[in-house]
Amino acid sequence: MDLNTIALIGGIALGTYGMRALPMLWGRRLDTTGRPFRVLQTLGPMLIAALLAVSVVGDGAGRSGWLDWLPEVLGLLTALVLYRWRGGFVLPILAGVLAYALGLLLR
Amino acid sequence: MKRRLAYRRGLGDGAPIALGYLPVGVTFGLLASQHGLGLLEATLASVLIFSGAAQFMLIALLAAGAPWLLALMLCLLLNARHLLYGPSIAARIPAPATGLAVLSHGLTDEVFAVALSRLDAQPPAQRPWWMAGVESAAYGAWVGATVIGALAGDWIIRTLPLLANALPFALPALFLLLVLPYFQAGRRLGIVTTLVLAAGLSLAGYAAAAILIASVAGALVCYRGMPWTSTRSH
Repeated sequence: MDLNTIALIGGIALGTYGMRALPMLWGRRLDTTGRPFRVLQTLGPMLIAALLAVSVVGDGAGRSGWLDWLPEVLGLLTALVLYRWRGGFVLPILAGVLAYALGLLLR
Repeated sequence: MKRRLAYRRGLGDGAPIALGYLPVGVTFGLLASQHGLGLLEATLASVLIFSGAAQFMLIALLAAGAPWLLALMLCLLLNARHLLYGPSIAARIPAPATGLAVLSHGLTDEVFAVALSRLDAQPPAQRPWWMAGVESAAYGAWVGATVIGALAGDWIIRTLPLLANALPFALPALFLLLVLPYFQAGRRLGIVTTLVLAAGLSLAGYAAAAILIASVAGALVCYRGMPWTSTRSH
């Protein structure tokens, strides 16, 4: 057990918790009809969109052709079609993962 | 009784997150053990930090022999996007400050995305319990997978390589389904702007900054088109 590593983990944990908790506690005082709240409501979906883009292309370095993106395209399209058809989350996501796995095999 | 049902609903809504966290957590546990972190240190990182991006960066920085302060600053910088999550949902969770303080620990990217999309569908009084359920599913999967990864990650990845490679795709699929309901007039251009900018920055090697920069840019595009901005010249 390395005490320096444990201290570093503790420092990162404290900082991360502070960045999560302090804005959360400040946010509970927001007036839900006020402009700051409406701006945050606009920002929220954009954060999800950014997370989507980064999680899809995050490891894109080194890919040269369109075929390299086949797993992602197959996975996202499958999840989208099943979501539109059946609704819910679990089935479309599982199908998307299976399609992604198929894409990995075909690539 | 209602609280228990809300908690169970939250566990169910958090299941897709757990599915995506399992292989990533196993990978973290494996990498941690390969880079000299013991089971206790790897598990402590997942229990206390509970942030995949920062934890993977921590491993990379420790492996590179980075100075303590630099490693701390870089990991926190990577997590700066979390500053925006709390204010977006806090006003919709009727819980005392202590309750929100507890829930804050589990507010990861994925939990935030699920909460933003599904909080309003929960009865207000049950929202803290629903949120606790979502976070429990995510947290349990992450910490459990870290322990499994530290103990047997190498064996799992050798035995089930396709599964280990494919399961993390549950998270992009989840984000896609969560952003779809917002893809409508008024927000469409902002979302497209965010997607293109975040993808471009990510491909250029700035994935951590991409989330903050692209989402703020997308929100500005939306904000200029919102009805309340048309009266600002008065």
